[in-house]
Amino acid sequence: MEIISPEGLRQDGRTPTCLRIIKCRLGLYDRPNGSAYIEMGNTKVLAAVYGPREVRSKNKQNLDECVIQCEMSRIAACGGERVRRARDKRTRALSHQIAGVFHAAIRKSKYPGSQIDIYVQVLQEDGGVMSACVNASTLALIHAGVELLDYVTSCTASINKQTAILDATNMEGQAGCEVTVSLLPNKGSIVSLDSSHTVHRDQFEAVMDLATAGCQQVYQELFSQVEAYLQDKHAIMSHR
Amino acid sequence: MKETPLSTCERTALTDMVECGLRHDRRGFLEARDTTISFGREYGSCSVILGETRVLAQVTCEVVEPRASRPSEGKLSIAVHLSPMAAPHLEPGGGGGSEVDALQQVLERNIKESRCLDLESLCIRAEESVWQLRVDITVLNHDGNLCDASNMAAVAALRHFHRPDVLVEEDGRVTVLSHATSPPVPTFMRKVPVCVSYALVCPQEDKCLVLMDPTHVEERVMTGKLVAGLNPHGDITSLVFPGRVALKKEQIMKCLEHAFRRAKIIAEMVQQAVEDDLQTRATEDRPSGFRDKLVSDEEYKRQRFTHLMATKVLTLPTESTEAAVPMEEEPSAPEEQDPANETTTNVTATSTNGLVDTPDDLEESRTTAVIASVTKTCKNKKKKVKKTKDVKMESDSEEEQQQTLLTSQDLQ
Repeated sequence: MEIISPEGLRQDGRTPTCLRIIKCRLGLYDRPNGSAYIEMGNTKVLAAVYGPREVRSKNKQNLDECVIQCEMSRIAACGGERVRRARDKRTRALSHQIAGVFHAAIRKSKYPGSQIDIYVQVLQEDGGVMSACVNASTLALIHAGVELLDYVTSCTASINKQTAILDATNMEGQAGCEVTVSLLPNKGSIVSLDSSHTVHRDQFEAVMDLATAGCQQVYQELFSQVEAYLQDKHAIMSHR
Repeated sequence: MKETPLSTCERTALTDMVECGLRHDRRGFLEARDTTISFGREYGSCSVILGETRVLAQVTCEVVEPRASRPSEGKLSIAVHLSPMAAPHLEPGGGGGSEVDALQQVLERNIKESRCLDLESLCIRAEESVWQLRVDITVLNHDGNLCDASNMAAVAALRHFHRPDVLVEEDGRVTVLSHATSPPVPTFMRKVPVCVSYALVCPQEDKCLVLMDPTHVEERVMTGKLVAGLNPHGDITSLVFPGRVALKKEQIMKCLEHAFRRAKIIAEMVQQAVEDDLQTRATEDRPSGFRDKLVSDEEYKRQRFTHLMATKVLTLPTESTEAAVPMEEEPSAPEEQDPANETTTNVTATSTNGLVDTPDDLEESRTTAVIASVTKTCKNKKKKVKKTKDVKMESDSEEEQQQTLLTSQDLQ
């Protein structure tokens, strides 16, 4: 089956460098300090942030910085096949990586001796799960009011017959590689990079550049959402 | 047992040393430890010694039913075992936690998902029976950089492995023939996947130094890491950079470039080791196995010491240069231009040029360093840091000059 049609369009009518539609919401629940929901096409992720709060296990406590933990899980019906175990090796490795991303982005020295927990729930997966998780966690952290150096935005790119494609869905990503880049968009520095399946070194740079450009687009989207949210809140507060 | 925490003193000593361009075992930033690959008596058992890290890989095979989704493909599974044998802080029972998960993910991507092993050649009868290869990797001693060592061991073991021949009868029964009755069949591996790890140490903000092949102590003080899985044909099979540090794109690309150069060396080494062993095996009637090839830590340290004495210290003309020589990365260029700024450039130069150096370049720079006889970089470190701010602008332009100089050296 053709992933890119002769006219240069993909299955869902996008061009190779076009993102899927992003919809997001800040603040869904009261219990956690911050929560957010994001939809990137059919990939749907929910994130909740607890903290900064007291460290649970004392032997992990670090008096200079805060401890950041992430737990990612998938609901049983998130993919094509039923997920038998919500937390397998892959999700554990991913949660570790998400925690690593925010180690670089949170101002850790602001919260000495405390802990920040990020819980991510994947409701539906259709390519770019890791990037959706990172984006959702960023929004949740912003909602929780945790100090960040910058937004963290993430995006995936893949390659199909020499053409780099942005934000690949499950079906599009099956044939090629999947390169996930997490970026601090205002600083322009990369905080996480993950590539699975084989990609040739000559193509790698193009894929990475495309993913980085995608991150900037995601940033615009997230920024406008956060701005809208704040204006909304602020309007209510000033009205009172 | 919990791992003994590193004292602040040890921690700062290590990072400060790195900042000065020196590693605790006197290696260059982009210098790997000595690597030895040896094979056991059986086919497919391989031990890799990387410095003091030891890893044992064993390949076993059995006949199983194929997966329904891929009826004509054999199976390959990779398992990593990290027990308290490797290091006292690891938990017994082989659960291993996040370290094993990460390791296993990298290995699976490099060896399994890259499809370097032709799985279809492992098919005996489609939909009925195929070979399953299991690679069990046991870490015997953990001194950092498990990814590289276990990847190398697994690949060497797979290349070395010979499975027994089979006889398929008309009614579909499969008989496995013993090695004595018919010659074993080698596995067919198209490419040699290699894994190269880098430790990223950030002594200050927005300054990041890259160390290759980190030891366990370095892994404990490092801020982040970058693990690249690739093969000398130019494919990147996996790339893991799990954050904790913010890197620029150029730094990542430089790392990759260096990784490819390194991959070529490792791939050749693995291929050579396997071929040599198979050849000697053909002539010898009883291979000796690991017994004569394993080296104790003590002996290794002694060898390393004598090696260092022979290559670095004894060849030097005077006492005073001795300490300075291994820590200098590329000091010769700026000194000749402007002796006043010497100290500042030494500090900053390591950060930018760390990546460009190949061991050959290092040797060159060392000899020039002896001529210039620079000393006392470490002691004046604090002064230098202050100075760096003052002369930042000048040193920046100098860095550029240096870099152009370096690239021209590379080309030569």
